[in-house]
Amino acid sequence: MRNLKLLGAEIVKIMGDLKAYWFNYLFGNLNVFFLFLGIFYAFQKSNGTAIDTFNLLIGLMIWYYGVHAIDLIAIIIEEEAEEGTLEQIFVTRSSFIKVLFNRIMSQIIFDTIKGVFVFVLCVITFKIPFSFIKSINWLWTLIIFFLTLSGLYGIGYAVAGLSIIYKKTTAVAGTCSNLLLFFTGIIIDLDKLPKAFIYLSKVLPLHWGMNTLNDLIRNDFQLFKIVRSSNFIYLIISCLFWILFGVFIFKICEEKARIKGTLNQY
Amino acid sequence: MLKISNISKEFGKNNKKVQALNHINLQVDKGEIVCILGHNGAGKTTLIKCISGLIIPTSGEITIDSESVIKNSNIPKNKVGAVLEGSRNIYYYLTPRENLKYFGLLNNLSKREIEERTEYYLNLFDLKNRENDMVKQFSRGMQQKVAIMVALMKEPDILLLDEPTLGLDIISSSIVKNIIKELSEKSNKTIMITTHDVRLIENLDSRVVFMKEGRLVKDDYLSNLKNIIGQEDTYELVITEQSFKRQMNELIETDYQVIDNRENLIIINTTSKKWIAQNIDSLDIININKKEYDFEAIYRRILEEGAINEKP
Repeated sequence: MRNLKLLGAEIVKIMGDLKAYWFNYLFGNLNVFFLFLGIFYAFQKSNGTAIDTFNLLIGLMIWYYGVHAIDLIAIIIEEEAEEGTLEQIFVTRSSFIKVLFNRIMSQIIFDTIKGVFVFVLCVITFKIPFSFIKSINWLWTLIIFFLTLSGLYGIGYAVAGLSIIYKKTTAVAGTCSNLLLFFTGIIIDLDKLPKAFIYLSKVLPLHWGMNTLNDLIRNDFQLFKIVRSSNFIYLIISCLFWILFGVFIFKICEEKARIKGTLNQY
Repeated sequence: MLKISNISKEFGKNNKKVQALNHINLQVDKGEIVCILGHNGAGKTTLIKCISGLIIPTSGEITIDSESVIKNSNIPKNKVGAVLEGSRNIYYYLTPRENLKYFGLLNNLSKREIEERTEYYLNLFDLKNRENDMVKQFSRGMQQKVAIMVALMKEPDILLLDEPTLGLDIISSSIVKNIIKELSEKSNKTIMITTHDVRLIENLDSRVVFMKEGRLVKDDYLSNLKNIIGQEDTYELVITEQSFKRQMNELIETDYQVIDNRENLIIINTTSKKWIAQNIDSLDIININKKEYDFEAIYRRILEEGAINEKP
């Protein structure tokens, strides 16, 4: 019930934001579309099938929303500090970590609406056959998609914790963004990369999320086989690890900022 | 009851250590209004932030109704409302109604509580006719009103106002002063105000705590403080800047003191009736107030010329 109230609060805020800055939001969508379009033409395989194209599109969507997941919480904190509302949130009856969680949830709802628009535009432009789109197990595709994102939000909490202490962490988020795009197998096959990157990618939930989606879509695994697969199990472990690690780092940083008295400094 | 026991706060490390609070002791009863006065860097904001749980003190204890603010961060979250200095405190791209709803939900209020309190405060603060306008379109005084409304939404036992009139023009400042006065008269809330604005303190006629370099140097009621300096009657004159500049060379400087200069208006204090009589025709006087005392003189005497009854 309390979480629903917090989610309601965030929707009030996001609607106000949308009302005030609708023009920017409109072009935000086009921005994503052109980004995907550019990457698609650069990295599509010449002899690729509809599955290849779809996998690239899904990979790009996970990457885009994943990058957003990693820097979103840090951006929220930076913006709140800049706007001078961060401390006001801290003195409300809600825990800050829960407020952030519900801000993420509202953002996911909002991003999903935006994402559907971008996705449809891409499907038409990339000429993915409708029969193929229809044949996909969407429920499980979305479960794996959001599960992967949850792990990335865990990394986001850790980055946000650092932003409470160091104030500007866009460079950290940028590093994560490039790392996720080029070294997790979304647009470049992992076997083309040095071994160090392969090991690194295995630490991140995105790698396991992409593998599980491959199992589901490309390899046509049945659900019972998916949930027993090592890719799915590693995805769960990786997500749990990053969520716990992220929240832990965030709490430590929050406490440190309260001791240093730098919570609202920008 | 708010009890601050032996609170100290140090910032920085090694050679760069700053003692922001130095063994502060203070007790504030329910419904009491306390103004905290001091120069920049005296520790006023640090004290307010310690009470609201935003800063953890190095040592000492703060309790609200015998419950520790330091050990349990939910205590200030439940019992303290704050308007903090240097912060907007509210979202400028939302309307007052949306801000109240947002922070009402964050404070776990029910839909009915939010609606009832929103109506009550919009009427009390005279913002009903602007309830659906974005806050960024408001004057600073009106924005400050919305920030105070947000702090009041959860009906806190203790309201902390950090420099509520800072940066406001004379009219906005007077709006906020009237609001605080009204709150102090109508509600039974403990209100703590940090300020540089001696006229706000004069207006409230409450208990005043003086802070200097992290220490509490004087804690007394305004009525008692008036006796510190045996004073003649003081007159406060509001005059136009134009007439003041025109006559400046003719005025005897020792007979008056400029205390404010904003928006083409100058406020001066004088104890000399003769000076007023001599200049009443040449200065465009908008208003004259007779004050029983000059609080600015008390402030200077305590904080600049040396503490009186300084507490260890």
